[in-house]
Amino acid sequence: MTGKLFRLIILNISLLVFIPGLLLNGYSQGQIPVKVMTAGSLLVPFRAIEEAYEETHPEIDVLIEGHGSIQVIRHVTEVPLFSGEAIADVVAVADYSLIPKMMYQTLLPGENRAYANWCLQFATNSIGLAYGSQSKYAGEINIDNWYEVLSREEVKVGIADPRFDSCGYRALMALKLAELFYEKEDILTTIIGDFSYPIKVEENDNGYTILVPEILEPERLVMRNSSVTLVFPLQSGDLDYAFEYKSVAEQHGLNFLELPPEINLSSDSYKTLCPQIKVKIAFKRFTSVNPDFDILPIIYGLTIPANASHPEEAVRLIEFILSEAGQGILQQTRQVTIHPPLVDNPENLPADLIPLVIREE
Amino acid sequence: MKISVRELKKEILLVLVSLLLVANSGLALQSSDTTVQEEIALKITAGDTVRTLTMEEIKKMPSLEGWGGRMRSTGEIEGPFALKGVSLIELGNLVGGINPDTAVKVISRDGYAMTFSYKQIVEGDYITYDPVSKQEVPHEELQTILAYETDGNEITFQQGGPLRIAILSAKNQVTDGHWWCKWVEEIELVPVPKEWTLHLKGAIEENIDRGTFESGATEGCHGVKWVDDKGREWEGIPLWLLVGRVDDENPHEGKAFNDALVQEGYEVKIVAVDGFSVTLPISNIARRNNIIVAYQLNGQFLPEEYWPLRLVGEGLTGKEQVGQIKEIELLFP
Repeated sequence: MTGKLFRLIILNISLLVFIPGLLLNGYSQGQIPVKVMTAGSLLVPFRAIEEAYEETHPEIDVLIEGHGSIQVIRHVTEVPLFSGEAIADVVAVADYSLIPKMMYQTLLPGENRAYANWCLQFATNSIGLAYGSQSKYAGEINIDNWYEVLSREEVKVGIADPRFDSCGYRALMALKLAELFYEKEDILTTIIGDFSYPIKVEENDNGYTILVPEILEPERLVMRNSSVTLVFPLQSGDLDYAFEYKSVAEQHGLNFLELPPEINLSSDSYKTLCPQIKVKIAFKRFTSVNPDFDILPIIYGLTIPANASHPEEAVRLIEFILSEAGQGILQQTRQVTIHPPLVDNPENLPADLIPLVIREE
Repeated sequence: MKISVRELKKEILLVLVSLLLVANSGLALQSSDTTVQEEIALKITAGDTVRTLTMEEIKKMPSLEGWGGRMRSTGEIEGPFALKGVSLIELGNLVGGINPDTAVKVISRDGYAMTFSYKQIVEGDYITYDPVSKQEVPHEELQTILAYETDGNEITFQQGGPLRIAILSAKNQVTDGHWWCKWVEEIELVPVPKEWTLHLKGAIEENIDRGTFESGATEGCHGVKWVDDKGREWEGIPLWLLVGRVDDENPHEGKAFNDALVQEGYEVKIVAVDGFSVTLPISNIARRNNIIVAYQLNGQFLPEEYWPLRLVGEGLTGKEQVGQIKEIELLFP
C-alpha cells in the first residue's frame, strides 16, 4: 500500500509537472530552450547565430524574439510577472545604457537582488542614410550635400518614430548635430517639416533638448514604427531616403551614405560639436520608463537576467557569440562588433566569460 | 513486484481519477480566470467624469465587426483576424465625446500606454500595409475598436484579452502592431491643445508660441486673473507686459516696459484671425494689470469663438474685447 501510494504520488507530481510543461512549451522534446530577447536591429545576425549554434548543439533550441529595446527589457522585468511568459535567458539591446537603467535598479520580486548586475558592450553601429538605386538624386547625394538633397520638396524622407524606436530619436540627435557640423541653422526643422503638434528644440547651458510631443502627425516626413519597417518602403521606392542603422541597411541590400563621425553616433566624436543633446518624449509609453534619452554612442548591450531559466546554456551561447566563429557570423551579417567586448562589473560576470572580455575603463 | 489484474485496474482507475483532478484544477484555474474577466471593469475618464463598465455592459453596447491584422516592429505579420468589439468613439461618448482637441489614452494592465489622436480615432488616420509585400497601401474607412472577440471566441489572456485595441480594415490589410494595446483596462480622454502663435510687432518682432505664453501666464510669473461682471474668471498676461517685449530693443531684461515711450504716446493694435482689429492708446493700457490677454476662462482653454486668446478687462467695451487674437502691433507716431 505504501509502495502504491508512493507510486501514485510520483505519478501525480509527474503529471502536474510535465503536462503544463508540454502544453506551454513549443520546443521539441529533449531539447533545452534558450530564449534570446533581442532588439529588432539584431534579428538578422542573431538568427544566423541561432542556425549555426543549433547545428553544433542539437540539444539546444535557441528561441529568438525581437522587440524594440525597451520592450525587450520589459519582457524580462515586467511582462512575465503579469503574463506568466517564460523568462529570457539572454537579453541583447541596441542601447547598452538601458540595461543598468532598467535592470540594475529593479529587484526580483521578493528577493534582494536585481534583474542584472553586469552588461557586455559587444557591438556598435552608426546612423546614416539608407536609400535605393531608384531614390531621387541617388547619383548626386554625398556627405557634403545630403541635407540639401533631403530638403528638396519632391524627396520623400523617412525616420523611425522617435516615440517607439531608438533609431528615431537618434536620427533627431544626428540632425541637430548636422546643424552644428555644417553650421546651418535650419537642417533639423527643414528636413522633418511641420507637425500638427511641433517638435521643438531648446538650447541650454550644456547643449540642446529636443522636445517630442505626445502626438506626432507629420506633414512632410514619413514615419514608420521601427528602423526595420523603414526598409520596405525604401525597397519599393515609396521612400527615397531614411535615417537608418548601417547594419540594417546593408543586411537588406540598400545603399548607405555614411555621415561624418561627429554626426553618426558611432563614437563619442559628437562631443567636439556639443557635449549634450537630450530627447525628451512627452509620450510616456511605459509607466516604469522615463522617456528622456541622452546622447550616447550607439553601443549594443548584452546580459543574462538573474532569473534566467537556463543560465548555464546562456553562458555557452554567449561564449559562441564571442568566439571566432560567432564573430565571423556577426561580421558576415554586417554587424560591427566590439571585440573583445567591454564589461562594466567583471566581478559579477559568470566565471567562464571573464577571459573573453575586458573591463570598461 | 508483481501486480494482479485487479490491482492494475485499481491503479488505472486511480490514475484516471488523478488525471481528472489535474484537469479539474486546470479548469478551476480557467474558471477563476473567467470570473476575473467578468469582474473586470473598463474605466473611462474625461476630466472629472468617470464611467466604469463590466464586460457584460460592454458586450451590450452597439458592436462593430470586421477584419484586422498587425505588423510588428520586427516586420512580422500577425493576422488577419475576424474581430468584434465596441468603437472607441462610442466609448468616448459615454464621458462627453471625442473632439479635435482630445487625445485618447489607452492604458493596459501591464503599465503600457498608447495615445491616439482625434484623427486616428475619428478619421481612421493610420498607415495600412499589404501583409505579403509589407508595402504601404491605400485604405478606405478604418475603425478603432476595443475588441472582445476574435474569430468567434472571447479573446484569451494570451491573445491580449479580454479587451484589446484592434483596428478594423480590409481583410487584406494590416496596421502597425503598437496600436493594438493588449489587456486594456482604462481609457482616458485627455486634452491636447492645438498649437498657436501670437505675433508681436513693434521696435522688434517676436512670435510667442502656446507653450511660452502658458509658461509666462503662470501665477508667480506674469499670470493674472480678472473677473468680469458676470462672475467669469479670465486668466492671462497683462497686455502692457506683452507690449513691453517689443516696445524697444529690450524684450525681457530688467525694466522691459519703456515708460518714457508712454509719455511720447503710441497706439496698440490688436488683430484677430479674421482681420478684425481694435486700436487702443498706450495711456489706457500702461501698467494696468486688469487689462489682460486671456487664454483661459474659468480654468479651461477658451471656447472656439474666442480661442486662442481674447482681450478682456476693466473698462473695455464689448467691441474692444477682441477674440481669436493673432497679432499685437505697436503703432508709433
